[in-house]
Amino acid sequence: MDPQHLSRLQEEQAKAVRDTEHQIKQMEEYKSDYKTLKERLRTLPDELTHDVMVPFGKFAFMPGKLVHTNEILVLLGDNWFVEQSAKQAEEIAQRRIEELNKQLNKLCAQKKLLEPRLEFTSDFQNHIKGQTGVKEIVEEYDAEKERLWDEQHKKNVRKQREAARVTQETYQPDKMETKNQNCDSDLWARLDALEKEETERRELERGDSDKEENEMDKMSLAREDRLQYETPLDRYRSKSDSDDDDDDNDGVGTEDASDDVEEDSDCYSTSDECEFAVGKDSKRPVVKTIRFTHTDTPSYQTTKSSYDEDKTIQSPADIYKLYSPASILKKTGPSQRGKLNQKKGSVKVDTEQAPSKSVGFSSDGDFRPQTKLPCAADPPRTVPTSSLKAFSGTVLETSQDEQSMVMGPKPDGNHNVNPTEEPPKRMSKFKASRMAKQGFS
Amino acid sequence: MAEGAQKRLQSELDKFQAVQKDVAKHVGLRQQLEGQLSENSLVKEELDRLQEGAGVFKMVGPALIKQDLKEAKQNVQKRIDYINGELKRHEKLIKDLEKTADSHRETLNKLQQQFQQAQVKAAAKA
Repeated sequence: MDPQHLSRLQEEQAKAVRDTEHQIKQMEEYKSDYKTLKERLRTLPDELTHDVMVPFGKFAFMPGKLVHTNEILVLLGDNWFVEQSAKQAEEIAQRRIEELNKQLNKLCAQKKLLEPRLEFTSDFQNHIKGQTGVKEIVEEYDAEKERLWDEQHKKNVRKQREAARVTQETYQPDKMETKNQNCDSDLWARLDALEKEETERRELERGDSDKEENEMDKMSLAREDRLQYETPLDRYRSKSDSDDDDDDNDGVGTEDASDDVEEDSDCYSTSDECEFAVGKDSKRPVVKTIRFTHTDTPSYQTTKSSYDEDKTIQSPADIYKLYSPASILKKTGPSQRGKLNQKKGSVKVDTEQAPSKSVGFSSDGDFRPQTKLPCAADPPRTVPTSSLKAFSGTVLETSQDEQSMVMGPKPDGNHNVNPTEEPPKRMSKFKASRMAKQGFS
Repeated sequence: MAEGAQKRLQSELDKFQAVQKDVAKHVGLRQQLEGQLSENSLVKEELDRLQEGAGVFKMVGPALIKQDLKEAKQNVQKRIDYINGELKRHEKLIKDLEKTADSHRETLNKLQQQFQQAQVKAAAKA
């Protein structure tokens, strides 16, 4: 604040306070006058006459007498007089005193209001001078500078976003996506779906014990890759792994699980999922394995060489690559994919495929249990993001245009949901699944 | 251009000041009326307290003229009413004057801005 302005303000405030004080003084004077008058009026009627020295002009007095001591002419105001007795005059005087008191009170209150204002201003002045312990924090604002900074900031943000996008594209898309989808509800839905898959898979596993070891290997790898997203299932898995015959994965699994737990602690309510996993484990001590079946479609993404070479799922990213993100979102609805996975044969037929693993659960957001299992009645759950098809029972190896969408290779009837083996021949997935079912059953 | 603006500014300023004077005058009158009003209401109160038969005098110049109590009361009442009316009239006047003063002030500001701009231009040119 400008010290000049402050001093001016101080002046005005001081003036106001002074005026009030002046008025108060005046009132006090009036009051004392009235009091003496009252006294005089009281004593006046004591005598019939009073001997007094009457002033003559400025310098002279003359002895005289006060007569009619009880007749008082009282000025009421506005040139009105009234003749009253002394007592009555006394009363009038008393009333006037009371009026004055009221005025005085008002003035005092006013003064009380004005004085703090003055104090504040002087305090402020002191602050500016730095005399008190309080320091004024002045943040300079320059409109021009702020504008420049804004522009720079926007650029930086843009760059950052670009960088993030680039890393997302080049690295592991699914991982980024998993990071992005931070919805608990989605995760819970996924967890439920995974749970179902697990139960079904376990049943399947009973008949497929040989695959477990392979699957465990792959699973651990998958786990490592999909740390963030896989957490609940990983923990799940890790717990099941501990029960597993396969010792290799125990350490890995638990490691990963713990890693996952740590990493995802902020993402999920880890405790709940852990308990959940534990519960599951307690029921069935079967090892959870992730089996992937690959459909025999060409790889459409080249970033993962392992995937490209032998079409095996080495990492969740491979799974993701089976599903082109575009196709996932646009062409293949989750329900469709779920239906895809309903093919009975699809899940189990994978063994023929050399590297493929049979995955207990369907690909794509719809983690329906394998159709063999009685869980077929479950409504397909659609996990929102395509990338989350970590445990797709069948790795649908789809190309961008979804042509190569096929369920796991099924030698015994390719109930390939993939309706479109070739671009020209497009068949709806529902139809394909239906056909596949018919073919299978 | 600058001179013209300046002249306009000056005339506008004068008008504004005249209006402000009017406003101040009327405000002063109003305050006076207020004082009279309070005085007369006091008088009325006292007169009401008065018993019958007491002498009421009105001072006309150096002379005191006896008045009837009732008459005095009525007179005072009339005076009070008159003062109230005057007060309202003055208030209205003040409001109107203030409005004109505000409008003058605005035009004054505008002119000032123009004048400043003109000055700046002149300075830039020069």
